[in-house]
Amino acid sequence: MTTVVASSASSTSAVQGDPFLERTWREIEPSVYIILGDDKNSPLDSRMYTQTYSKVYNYCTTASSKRAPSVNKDRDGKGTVKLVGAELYYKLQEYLKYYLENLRQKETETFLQFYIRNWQRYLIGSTRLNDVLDYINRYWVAKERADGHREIYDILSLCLLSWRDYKFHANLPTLINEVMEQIRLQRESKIDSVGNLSVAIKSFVLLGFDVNDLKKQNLSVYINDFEKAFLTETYNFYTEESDRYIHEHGVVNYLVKAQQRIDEELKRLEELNDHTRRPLNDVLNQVLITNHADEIRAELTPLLDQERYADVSRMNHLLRRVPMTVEPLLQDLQSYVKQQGLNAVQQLSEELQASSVPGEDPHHRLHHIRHSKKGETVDAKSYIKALLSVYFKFRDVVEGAFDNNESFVKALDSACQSFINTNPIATPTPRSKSRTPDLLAKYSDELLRKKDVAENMSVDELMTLFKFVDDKESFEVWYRRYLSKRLMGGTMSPEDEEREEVIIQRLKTANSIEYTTKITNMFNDIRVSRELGSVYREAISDSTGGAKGYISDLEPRILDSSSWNAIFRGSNESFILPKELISTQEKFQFIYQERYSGRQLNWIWNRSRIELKINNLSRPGKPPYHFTVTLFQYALLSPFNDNDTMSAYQLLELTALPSEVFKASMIPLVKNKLLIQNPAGDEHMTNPTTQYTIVKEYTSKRIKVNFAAGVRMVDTRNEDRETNEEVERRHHELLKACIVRIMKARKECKHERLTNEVYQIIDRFKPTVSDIKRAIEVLIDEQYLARGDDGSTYVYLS
Amino acid sequence: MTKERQIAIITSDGDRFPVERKVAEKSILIKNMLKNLLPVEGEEGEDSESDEEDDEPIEIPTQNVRSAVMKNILEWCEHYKDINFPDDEQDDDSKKSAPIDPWDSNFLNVDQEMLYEIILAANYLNIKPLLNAGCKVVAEMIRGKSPEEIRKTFNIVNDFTPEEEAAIRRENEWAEDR
Repeated sequence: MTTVVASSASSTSAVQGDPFLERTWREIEPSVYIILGDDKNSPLDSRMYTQTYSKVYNYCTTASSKRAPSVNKDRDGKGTVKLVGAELYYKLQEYLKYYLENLRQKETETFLQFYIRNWQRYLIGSTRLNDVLDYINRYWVAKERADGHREIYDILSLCLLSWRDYKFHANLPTLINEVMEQIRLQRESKIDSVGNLSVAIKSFVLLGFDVNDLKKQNLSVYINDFEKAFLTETYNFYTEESDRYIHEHGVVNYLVKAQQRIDEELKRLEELNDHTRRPLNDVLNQVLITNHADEIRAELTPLLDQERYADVSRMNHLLRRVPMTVEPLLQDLQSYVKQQGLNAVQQLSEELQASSVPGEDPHHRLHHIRHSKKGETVDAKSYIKALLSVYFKFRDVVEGAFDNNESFVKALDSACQSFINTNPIATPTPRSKSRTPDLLAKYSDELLRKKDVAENMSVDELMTLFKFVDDKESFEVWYRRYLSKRLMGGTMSPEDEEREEVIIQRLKTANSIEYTTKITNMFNDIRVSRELGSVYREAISDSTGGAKGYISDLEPRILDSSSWNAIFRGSNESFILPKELISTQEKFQFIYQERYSGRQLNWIWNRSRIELKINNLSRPGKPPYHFTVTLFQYALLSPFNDNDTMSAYQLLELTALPSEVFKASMIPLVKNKLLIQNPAGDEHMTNPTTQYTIVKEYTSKRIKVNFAAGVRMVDTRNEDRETNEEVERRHHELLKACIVRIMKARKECKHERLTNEVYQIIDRFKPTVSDIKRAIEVLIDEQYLARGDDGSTYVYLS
Repeated sequence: MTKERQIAIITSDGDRFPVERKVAEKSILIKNMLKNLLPVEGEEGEDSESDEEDDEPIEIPTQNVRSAVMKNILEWCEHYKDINFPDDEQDDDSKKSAPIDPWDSNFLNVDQEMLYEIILAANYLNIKPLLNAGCKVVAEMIRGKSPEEIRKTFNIVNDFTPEEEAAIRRENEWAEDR
């Protein structure tokens, strides 16, 4: 092919003064000058364009006829054909140097302006020259590069490289200084826009080359000569500015300023290469945030105190840019919330103490305040409300100022968990078990029982706090205690049951089915009891019922002792059932054993109630009274059917009641003037010689009189203590079960490992180390475990 | 530019061929030239001549092509004006070994003199597909022929001595088609 023209022997022997070369160059040089941009800014026309192209074409092709075609032998013996073009290329290279070195800066312009002005024109010129001299690119340059001559470039790259060497690197310090000066002025708002600065910055990108692939972007020049200086300048500028700004305007204003600066700089990125995004971000984060993180964070507490949540939000947004500054912020928030919680409880505790002092504005609160074992007054509702108010307040803060960010939600939860379980009311001494589960169960009881007081109490609130309670087991025990009272206390309407069911469902969802098993069983027991009641009534109605003296409207309650343990407290007192009731007891016992053989039935006399219709104490013409009495009171009143006056000695002997139960049962009867005590006075009540006389005619405004309500069944203090003991027992049993389960799987286990696993498994309460140790000791005593030879290992005994 | 600028190609022997822009742009030389000479909108063109006489056709002198050849070239360009040839740099082997397009084959079925001129013009004007097609036609003329036949086809005088010829034959024995 004609285009594949061989050059003279070797490229290095480019003959100086080759007349054809000289003539060709002489002919195209003026056009090259115009294309690159001459003094007069002469236009380029199509004639000049094609002429220049044709001259180069002719030189590269017709040269062949004047030179002997030759083939160079490479080392490996393969022939390489040399193409014509080298001489022209080197001529151009020399000319570009000359051209660039002779560009003149105007007196009125800065170097930067000069640089930008010429670059813009030169870039256009270079692109055109690349097309006009395309023939060199197409064959000679392509061949050279294909042969591995990486120092040969296409015409455009050659132009840019020349610029880099003679205009850019040659003036680098001046250029970069002026660029930085412009950026500084812009940051100081002394000039509005960077103007053509981005043109200069873009030129830095084009000046880097990957010698192996000229098409690939190479940022070496941009990064080494511009970006580094830019980042240093940025660092210094903002170090100075931020120090001064915080000092002069304070942290809160600085939060705004820093964010504004960051936004500005990110906008500047549009003018920079994207490579700078990361390092610029890093510098800004370091200078504007990390370096001031401590000062900034110190403002959190004052801002929260003043409820300036917009500023808190700003702080969060700023610090969030640097993840490592967030962790301390989380801790600060957490301790703040915790402290707020403790303060709220402390304040409540003081208020309650103040209001319990007589005469000092008791409000109407007193009627649902109960006395705790420590003698201080705690109102479950106020307490729970106080805890909730802190939680809700900061939940809103976390939502509003911290965007509900997961880690902040977690910090809030940890803080709440802490003060909800441990605070001056729940744990008056560091070693006391938290009373929060008790008070929360009490809250649920009030919610379910007192519909009038239950206003602005809700299941949602209950469940919100439940989530935070450490000792779920304790809550369950207390909950059952209150539930048993609700179930025994009277009839539950279907609506009541529904409300109960809602809470049980929620507890089940929040914990487990197993968690509510006992609670559910209690409801079942009541249901089954109703059924048994009707079985009993059926049984006595078809036999010779009335004749045998059966009670016809017996309402039995058959309660499973494992769920209802609260009921059995103090139920083992001595008592002789009045003889007229014995047949009923026996009949029911018979029916029950028939159905459930093998079960043991225990009678809990102190829970029994009797409705009496009194026929002989009313004034003539008036309807008979209806008395509600306990079984014990009945047993004490029954003898008065035969005698008007009985001595304490006689009554005690008939009933076999312990004297304190006797006293508790008698008080309402005496106080309500059904019995006249002689001599009067509590202290004489149990004196054997004290006489009791029944009134001839009872006077009361109501037809129905409840004597049972006045009986203090069991001492509340004891009840509290016993419930706490039950919680302890439950913990102990759970721990033992857990340890046995682990050991069964492991067979052998080190003490530490065992302890750790127990902590992981037990989630319903937080066992202490001594709790675990005690459980292990017991298991060793019970021969489930044995100590290993080394003393720190336990072995499972099957 | 709202109105398509007129383009005329002037051949070496002075003939004037008005052409549609997209026909002319089959030549990368002309395509690049137009790109460089016609200012893009928004760019302050130093090429002031375009401002004054937009209606004047752009004349493109092609010093190296005579009008008989240009006629053929433009016929080819016209035929392919709506085809976009990918201007990929790497001419992969599959394209090299692809058979000649029948239309091209027919189009290039001209006397040898004209064929060479078309190939030269295609190279000058930078019309790669046409250049490739032309070279393939020449390659076809060589394929399967003995040296003697090739010499005859291309009018080449044998300047090897019999010894030289035998030596070359031995060296290239491996390439013989057996």
